[in-house]
Amino acid sequence: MIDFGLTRHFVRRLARAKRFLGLTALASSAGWITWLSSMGESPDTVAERFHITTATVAAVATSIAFLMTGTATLRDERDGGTLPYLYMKPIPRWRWAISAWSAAALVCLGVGIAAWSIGWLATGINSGSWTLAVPALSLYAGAAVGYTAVFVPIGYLFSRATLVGLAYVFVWEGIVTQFVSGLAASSVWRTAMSIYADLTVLPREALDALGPVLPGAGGGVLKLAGTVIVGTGILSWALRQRDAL
Amino acid sequence: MSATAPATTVQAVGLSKWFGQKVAVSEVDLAFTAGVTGLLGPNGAGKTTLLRLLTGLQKPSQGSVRVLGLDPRQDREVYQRIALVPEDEAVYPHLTARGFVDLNAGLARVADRDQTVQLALEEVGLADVADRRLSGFSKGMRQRAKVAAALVSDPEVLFLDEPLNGADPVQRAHLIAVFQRLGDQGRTVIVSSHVLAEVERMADRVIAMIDGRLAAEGTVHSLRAAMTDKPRLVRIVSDQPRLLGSLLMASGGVDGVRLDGITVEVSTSDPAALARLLAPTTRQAGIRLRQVLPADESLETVFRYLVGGR
Repeated sequence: MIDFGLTRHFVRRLARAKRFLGLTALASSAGWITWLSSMGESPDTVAERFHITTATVAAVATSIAFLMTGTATLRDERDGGTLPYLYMKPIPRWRWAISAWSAAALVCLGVGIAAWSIGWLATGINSGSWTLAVPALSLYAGAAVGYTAVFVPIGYLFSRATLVGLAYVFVWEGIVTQFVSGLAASSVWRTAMSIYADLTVLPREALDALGPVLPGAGGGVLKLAGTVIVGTGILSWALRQRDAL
Repeated sequence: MSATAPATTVQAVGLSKWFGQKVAVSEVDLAFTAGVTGLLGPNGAGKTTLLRLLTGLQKPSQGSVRVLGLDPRQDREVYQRIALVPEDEAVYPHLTARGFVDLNAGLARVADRDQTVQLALEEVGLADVADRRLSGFSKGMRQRAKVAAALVSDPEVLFLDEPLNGADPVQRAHLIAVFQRLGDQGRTVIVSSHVLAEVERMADRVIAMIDGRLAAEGTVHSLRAAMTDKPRLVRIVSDQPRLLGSLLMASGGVDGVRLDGITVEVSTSDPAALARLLAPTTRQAGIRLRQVLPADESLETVFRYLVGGR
């Protein structure tokens, strides 16, 4: 399924130290806020603050970090003129698409885990519970898998990919899917939140981030799988049909 | 016994590409065979777009492309047998030259990778610096790394877009020798360049493009010979240039004469008649000829004629 040579190349390109550290710093802002705001608080307050900041602050910070990574996967190659080295190889386009997505998802997973670990340390040190933050890993992992399935094709299809990606995050996910309940399932963040909400007890303020989506790990995983299939399918089609340069 | 026509390896039929209102390549019909072919044209002539169409990087707006009998947009296996050196200076700065060539070898499923990569690096003269990062390479060295990355898959057809940009004279001579050797081995080598002297040195055949259209194709000599409306210039060096010039003008066999030191530059629409005239004229007048050379058969001259007043 995956072309390991291609995936390894994309991972090496995306996970360069400066970019990785910068995006991790951005994505971990929810963890730092938890840390600073819950010092000296009771374990229940620490848990509440962690869940709320994860559901709200991380929704913005993490999605932007994943947006930067996902759109850069192929845009960097195209803008840098290096795409022909990869494109002109005997690799079927669907394997190409899966390799690009999986590389971006792996890097985003790395960024997500690094960001989550700040929150995990914050809750562990401030509340004494080292398992409190564990369910949130599902949120970061789900968001990494889902967002990259959306942002990698956007990075290839649009010259202003960052702008299109920001519109997806703030306009589509933040506004449209909030008010049009029929479209709520198309929000990657809400889908990832539905898995997280199914694995732990969240305070009401954190559950608000779900909007009309109901908690459910199984349904969330299926929706993310669907997003990946559609995203890589679109990318595969674009690689076959559109000009590479 | 009839000679067999060389097999066509790359073919474009009615090939066009437009971007909105701008036509980059217009109704080009071309066939390439083994050997080195120079793709010539001023900036913006459509050379790079043509190479991108031939390699499947861009989809034709109209017409078709076959490379080794396959459509590069549909039949990805053709990429096992062809390679491109793109025009952009782009490489991966974080990779070493060896890493860059190895990446290409790995993706192209090259067997015996380590040895093949080493051979490709040696071929372009980068073996000594193979473990240095490309970010520290000069432009010419990067060009050579790109050529090594293309050669590593042992391509039957090699597309090169301005491959000598940035290379110093020694590197240029080396790369030209590499391309010629590949052509002599029976591979199809298509080299785009706007540097006429380079194309003239390395290509058996020339294709000239102007404004996205095919302006001419053939050997430099055949292109010049086909321009019957342009008088031919011949430079004659002799010990009595003034006398020679006046005799030639008096004979009526030339269109014009210009003196430049010991050289007489003769303009004629019938070079064969000039050749027949020259020997008896100089013998009878006791003029000693030192050199007789065509003055306008260089690719530069041919190209200047093709592009007219541009």
